[in-house]
Amino acid sequence: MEITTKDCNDVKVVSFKGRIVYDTEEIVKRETEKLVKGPVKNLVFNFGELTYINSSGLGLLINVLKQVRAAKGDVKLSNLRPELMELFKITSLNSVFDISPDEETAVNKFIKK
Amino acid sequence: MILFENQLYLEFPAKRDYIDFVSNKVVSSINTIAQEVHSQNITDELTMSQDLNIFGFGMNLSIDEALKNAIVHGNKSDPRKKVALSYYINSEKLEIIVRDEGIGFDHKNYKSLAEVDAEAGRGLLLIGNFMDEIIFNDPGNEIKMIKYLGKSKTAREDF
Repeated sequence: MEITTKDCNDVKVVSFKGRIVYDTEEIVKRETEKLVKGPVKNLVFNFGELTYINSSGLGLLINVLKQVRAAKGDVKLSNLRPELMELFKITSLNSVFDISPDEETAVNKFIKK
Repeated sequence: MILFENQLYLEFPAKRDYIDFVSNKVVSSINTIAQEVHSQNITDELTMSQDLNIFGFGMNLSIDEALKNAIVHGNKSDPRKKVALSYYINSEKLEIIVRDEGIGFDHKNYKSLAEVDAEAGRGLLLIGNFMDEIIFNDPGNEIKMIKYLGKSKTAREDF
């Protein structure tokens, strides 16, 4: 599991590579904790190379989303693979998260505000 | 057409550390069997689905969620308790049974999460979307998940 970040104006783009499973959950928790505590609350999670997530991982994402929204920020998702998009639809989480087809669209949603 | 069947039974202590390992191994073992049969019956389109990825993401997820439920909810993460997984596969269907040593749960009245943004409670919802049938035993400490091959009833064959 690899998590890399880059800054785009006032938005932090976070790219996930690998699988969010029980073995890698701690890494994700640790890295997202840093983001939640960091100064930039406008986050884009690029899931282009995230190949797997289970219900436990979804719970973790919701936890991050709630904390960030409480701090007047948001987590927007982009580049979901078809299987992941399917998961978000099944669980209706596509209505909870703002999901964009690509990173640029997601970043622009923050800038336009 | 070659008729076939295969089964496997395994037992392990209720530790979350085993979930990823066991679900990966089981999916790859099922896939090996399915591909073997597929390559032998390559001219017989009715035997197996052409899509070898049928046991991909969704199957991995279903086993993952069932094991998580058994370990965390059933056995309360007590490593002295065991989780048993078995599967049976033939040309028509794949059955996976996961059993724990817990007291079970009221599966007849169980409803997946109340709130769309709840942080837990999606496991069975996900299993139900990928598998064709889910059957619980009476106390509710055993789940049987069935996937029909080739003529899947669900719309999400590729999932």
